[in-house]
Amino acid sequence: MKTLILHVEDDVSLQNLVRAALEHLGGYEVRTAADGREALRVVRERLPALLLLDLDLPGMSGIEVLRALRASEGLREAPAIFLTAVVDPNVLAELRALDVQEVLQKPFRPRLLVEAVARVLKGAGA
Amino acid sequence: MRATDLAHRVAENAPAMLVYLDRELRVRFANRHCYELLGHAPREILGRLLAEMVDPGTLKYALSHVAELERGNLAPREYVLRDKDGGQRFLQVHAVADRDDAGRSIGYFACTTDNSAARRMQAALSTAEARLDVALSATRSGIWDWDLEGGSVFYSREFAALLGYAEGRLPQEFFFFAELHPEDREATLEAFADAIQAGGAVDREFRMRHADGSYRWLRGAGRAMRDPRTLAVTRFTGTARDIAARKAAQLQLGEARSLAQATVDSCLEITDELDERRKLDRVRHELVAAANHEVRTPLASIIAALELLRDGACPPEGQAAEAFLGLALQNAERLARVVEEWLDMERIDLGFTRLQCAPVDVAAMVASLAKQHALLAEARGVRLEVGAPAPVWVAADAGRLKQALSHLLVSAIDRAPDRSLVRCQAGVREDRVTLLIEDEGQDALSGTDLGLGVARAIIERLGGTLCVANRPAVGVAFHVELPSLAED
Repeated sequence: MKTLILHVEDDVSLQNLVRAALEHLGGYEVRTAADGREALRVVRERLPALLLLDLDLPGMSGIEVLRALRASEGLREAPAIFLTAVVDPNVLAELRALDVQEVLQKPFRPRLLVEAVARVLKGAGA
Repeated sequence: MRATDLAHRVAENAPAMLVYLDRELRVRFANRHCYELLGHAPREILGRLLAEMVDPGTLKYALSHVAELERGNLAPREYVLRDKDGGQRFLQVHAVADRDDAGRSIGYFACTTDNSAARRMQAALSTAEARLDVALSATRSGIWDWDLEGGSVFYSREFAALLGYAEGRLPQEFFFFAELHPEDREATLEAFADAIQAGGAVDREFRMRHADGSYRWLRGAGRAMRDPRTLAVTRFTGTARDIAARKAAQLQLGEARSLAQATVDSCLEITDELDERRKLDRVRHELVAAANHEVRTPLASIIAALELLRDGACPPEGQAAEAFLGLALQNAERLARVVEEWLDMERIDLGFTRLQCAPVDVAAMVASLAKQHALLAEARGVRLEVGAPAPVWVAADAGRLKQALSHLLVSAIDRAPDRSLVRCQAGVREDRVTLLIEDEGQDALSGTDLGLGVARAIIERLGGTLCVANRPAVGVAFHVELPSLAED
């Protein structure tokens, strides 16, 4: 079974493109959620090996979504990557405190995203 | 040597298999070649019936051959037999009846030659031809073969099909270079001539006239071939392939790229302008964040889509490529809109846009906007309530004010949950006209709304203020205040 990645992003174009990059360039399986509520529903079906999150999401923010996901059974130590337009130093500090492995800024290069995912998964021992 | 000895010698050594069968089809004579081919000793064959030696199918075939001989039909027949090694042999058998003085057949002479090598070559050739046919039609390729010495030219059926000619038939007067697109003709001719001159290869893309009169993109790859003895170039052979789909994708990719480039350039202009503004210390923090988000998000899609296409993360032709191009274009257009909005706000803010001010009744404007967006509200299951007891007048550019208020109203409708209320209330407090637009959206207002920045810029240029009360779990309220038009 392919390594599963959960991508939480409300922009439909980016949902499709990140999926294409991770599936075609990285050989991963990708499940997409548009917001925190959907993300919590999706992880109940199968636990992802890595969480890839947007910061600015409708409803719960990306940080709140990460907290909620990490509170779920089996995801306490799930590695996380943020893919975000805004890189504010305060936000970065908050992400570091949350044990987020990588923060990539939009626009991103698909190949570098795939490399970052591979690096974080390797670090997590997956 | 006696005549009978000579006859025997000839029969034994003739370069063919000679057999004599009697009336019952029993082998009475077989020469050396027969034994060599079949791998049996003479004693194993002589005196035996044909029926004992061949399979029923072959026997039936032989009996029908005999019947034809009796009718006087001497046409040779081809037999397929197993040789001593178990290999298949194609044997051509010329036979004739041996008749007594009364004309009755008493046996049959058969002279057999081995056609296996020729047949195998033929079979291999037709398999190769069939394979080539499949390959050519699968890749939509055609072949040309120019005999430079004899001057004749061969074009395959697929070549004619590429140009839309039915049944693989090019018109009599077809001349390769005459059918090239005028813009491609000279360069293609030159490249082909160079290859022929140098005895080398050529690989080019060009357009050729289709039977329907339009031009089609083809890719031609050819090689000049030398005569092995004289070393002179005698043939020029190659394939032509239909690359219309790739060309179309390339064209689209080019368009997407230039649109993306243009919008990226505009973004850079904005960044420069932003730097200027920062120096003037007039920059509003949340607006910079908004611009950042609204520019970076579509830009991310454009770059990702184009890079995935370039890196071949999907096949260059077909639906995936089209979908990627579609995403790039859609986001380039979105980016263009963001840029336009941003420039609009800058122009208003910096006073480059002249406002045409005249008395405007804000209450009437809000009522008309509510009517205008009633369908949107209905589609979202949102109820619009407009409270405007009496006309309230301000001096404003009607078009711009409408743009600003419309954005606030649509933003409220967008955020409002199903079966909730969006309330608009216009009024006057002291010398100010007030307008409240509030919704019951549960989510906090996103800090990345560039349209809100435009609305604020317009209202501030009109001497007013826009306050946003972001009340999680209650809803968002926009408070607009504008200087009231003194009633003279």
